[in-house]
Amino acid sequence: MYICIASEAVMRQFTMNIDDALLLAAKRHALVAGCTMSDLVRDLLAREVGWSTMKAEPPVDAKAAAPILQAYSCGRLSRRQAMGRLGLSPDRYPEFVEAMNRTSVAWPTHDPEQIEREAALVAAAIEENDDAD
Amino acid sequence: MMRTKVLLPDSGPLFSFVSVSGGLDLLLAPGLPLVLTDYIEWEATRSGSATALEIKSWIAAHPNKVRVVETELGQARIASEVAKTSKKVERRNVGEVTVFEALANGDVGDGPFLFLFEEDKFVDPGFYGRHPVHSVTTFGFLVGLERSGIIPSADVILGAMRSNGREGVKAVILDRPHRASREDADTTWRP
Repeated sequence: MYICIASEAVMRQFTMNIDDALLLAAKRHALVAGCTMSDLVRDLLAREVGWSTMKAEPPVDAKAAAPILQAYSCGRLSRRQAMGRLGLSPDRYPEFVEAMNRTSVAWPTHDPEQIEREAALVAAAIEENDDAD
Repeated sequence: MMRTKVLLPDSGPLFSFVSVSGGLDLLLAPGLPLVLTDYIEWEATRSGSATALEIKSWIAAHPNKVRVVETELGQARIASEVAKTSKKVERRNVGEVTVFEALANGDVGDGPFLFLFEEDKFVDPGFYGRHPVHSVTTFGFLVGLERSGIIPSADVILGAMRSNGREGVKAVILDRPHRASREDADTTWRP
């Protein structure tokens, strides 16, 4: 027995092999759950692979975002804080970058001395690791 | 001599590095073990977006180099977020606290530890007493790679992270010729 999942036009058809008994049980389950077999299989697959349908989010409003981006630029807000105030979750970093560049707000600068200290720590850790190998 | 472990108490650097083609591999370029907690992994992958899936696949592809530590708080938080019973505001610093839990329980092993944050974050070096704990920012980490001869230019990578792919830079890992010092004191890249 095989199942053909051919649903909405935007979705691709997919064929799979399945035991008769499992198919029957799955159909019964879908009936009780009030969904189609396609919905059921799609949901199970999505959950297993960690996939979700991403809704198109509206672009960041430049005028409203400007003070927040300025605060980030000056170091008064961290990137996470700024993104939080703009309603952007951490994985929407590309949208944050786009907003920064679109509004021409300067990216935060770094304290050269601090960066040198940090770089020295990283370089020392790498060197010690090489020596240990 | 103990091998330094790079700890991620924040998912921010993952999103910065993944924004550059081949960028996530730079996190492993120093040859140091990378450790993150279950909550940090969850935070980086929960959306199911293409970026999240790329991070998830990359973590799964490096089981011997990237270690995900399970924590009590992380598991509780993930369960409540899946069940949608936690408020967004409660998420603040959860990742950091899960790292502290893992360290305090000895689940991360011995130090020294290098905390990688997106931006400045002070970590008390004596917080745990047993091992030195230092924090570095994404840019400090990149400059460290440059100084060690692993990448040709930290500025170019940072520029790519800030250009949303417009620069089209692929992270390049060199064969590590020695470069004793950095010529430019600060990034020269501007949008």
